[in-house]
Amino acid sequence: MIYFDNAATSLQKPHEVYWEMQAAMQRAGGYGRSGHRPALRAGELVYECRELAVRLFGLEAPEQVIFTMNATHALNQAIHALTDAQTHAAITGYEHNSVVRPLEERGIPYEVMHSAPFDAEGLLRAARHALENGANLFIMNHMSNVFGGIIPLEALDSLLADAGIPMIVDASQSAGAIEINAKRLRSAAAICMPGHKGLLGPQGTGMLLICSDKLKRPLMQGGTGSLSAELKQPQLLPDRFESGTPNVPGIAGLAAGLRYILREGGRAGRQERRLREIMAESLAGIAGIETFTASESIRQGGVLSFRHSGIASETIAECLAEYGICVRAGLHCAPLAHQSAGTLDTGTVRISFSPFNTRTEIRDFCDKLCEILQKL
Amino acid sequence: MRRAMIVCHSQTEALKCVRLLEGAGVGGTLRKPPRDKIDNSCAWGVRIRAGDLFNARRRMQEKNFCPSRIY
Repeated sequence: MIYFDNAATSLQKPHEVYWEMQAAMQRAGGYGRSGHRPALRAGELVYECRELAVRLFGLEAPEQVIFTMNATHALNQAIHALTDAQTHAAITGYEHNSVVRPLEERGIPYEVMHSAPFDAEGLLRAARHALENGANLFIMNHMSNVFGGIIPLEALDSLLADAGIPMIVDASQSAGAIEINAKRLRSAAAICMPGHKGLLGPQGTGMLLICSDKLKRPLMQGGTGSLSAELKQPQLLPDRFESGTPNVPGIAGLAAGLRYILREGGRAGRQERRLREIMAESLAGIAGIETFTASESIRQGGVLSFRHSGIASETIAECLAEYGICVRAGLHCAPLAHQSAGTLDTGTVRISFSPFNTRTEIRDFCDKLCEILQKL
Repeated sequence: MRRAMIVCHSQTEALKCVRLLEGAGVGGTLRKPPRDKIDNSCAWGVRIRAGDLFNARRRMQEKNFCPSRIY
């Protein structure tokens, strides 16, 4: 099998992820409630994961790390906590439905900052325009899940920080692959990410990094194991946003993924980008294929979309699957991105890499793709 | 051996306290303090040697860490 669907969920994980999850299932009890040894072990495991996230993302304190089910949960929480009747949001033209749908559901007015794929200057211009229009909350997809385009986060942050406007960063595709330093992002109020993609943890894990005291309203209320005599939700972090028993085995696995990323020190992202470059070069020689690539490689991560002039994206993905090659076709839950790129009617076939993919897999992929295109 | 307890508001805060004290060479273990010793139910505490209390207080002050109570 060749697995190129890592933008959805990374499949190959460091072995420690499996071991730590199994150990947690066997040895860790209820988190944050009881005082016996298995419960304390759960507390230690969860706290250690917070500490690792602090190191990887340049946070100041472990309590800034809120564990969620996934990035969608984290984004819903951040949007819920940062919006009110006065909110006028601005979002990029590459946002996922996990941003657009919560805004729609809450009736929050938003404007889309239109820009062509990989056009950093265009996005900056659109952001300036949104500020002039009175936008008071920006939600930014750090790296597109469809095209892999990376936004000029530092320049946008500088613009917003100078204007005193907060930003929610959707780091669903960038966390683990691109350096994110919360200390340097002055306008970031929240950074949202899944655990099961670039951070190499299991499904059912995600993180919301709290970077501002502006986040007040929790999405859920309930038991926290703290201040139990009070009928109101505790305000202290992380308890304010963490009600109910968390996914301790998942968090133990996520911690193992974070340890791997920290140990590798940026190698994962470099490897994914290099593989994407090689794949783009290889696909360029195949008739009928249109790839979507940045003119500056640094502006694109380990995600590459392509389509064929005469064959539906879904058909190509289905044929590849018959050869044991895993990619995703369609709109990838991001219709705005396809509107921005002009691919709404065709969708794309998306190839997304992990640090465990190889050049040999790319060669095999291209051979099989050529075979399929000849047959169809 | 005599012990002291640093009472914290939550388990996360107590674990932070344990790490902070470790940095000053003070060993502490997580405990659930008895009800009569706490201001809020379901608090968490860090148990240390009574002889370490002076160093522990100094460390917490240095790091601007405010526990709920110490006994």
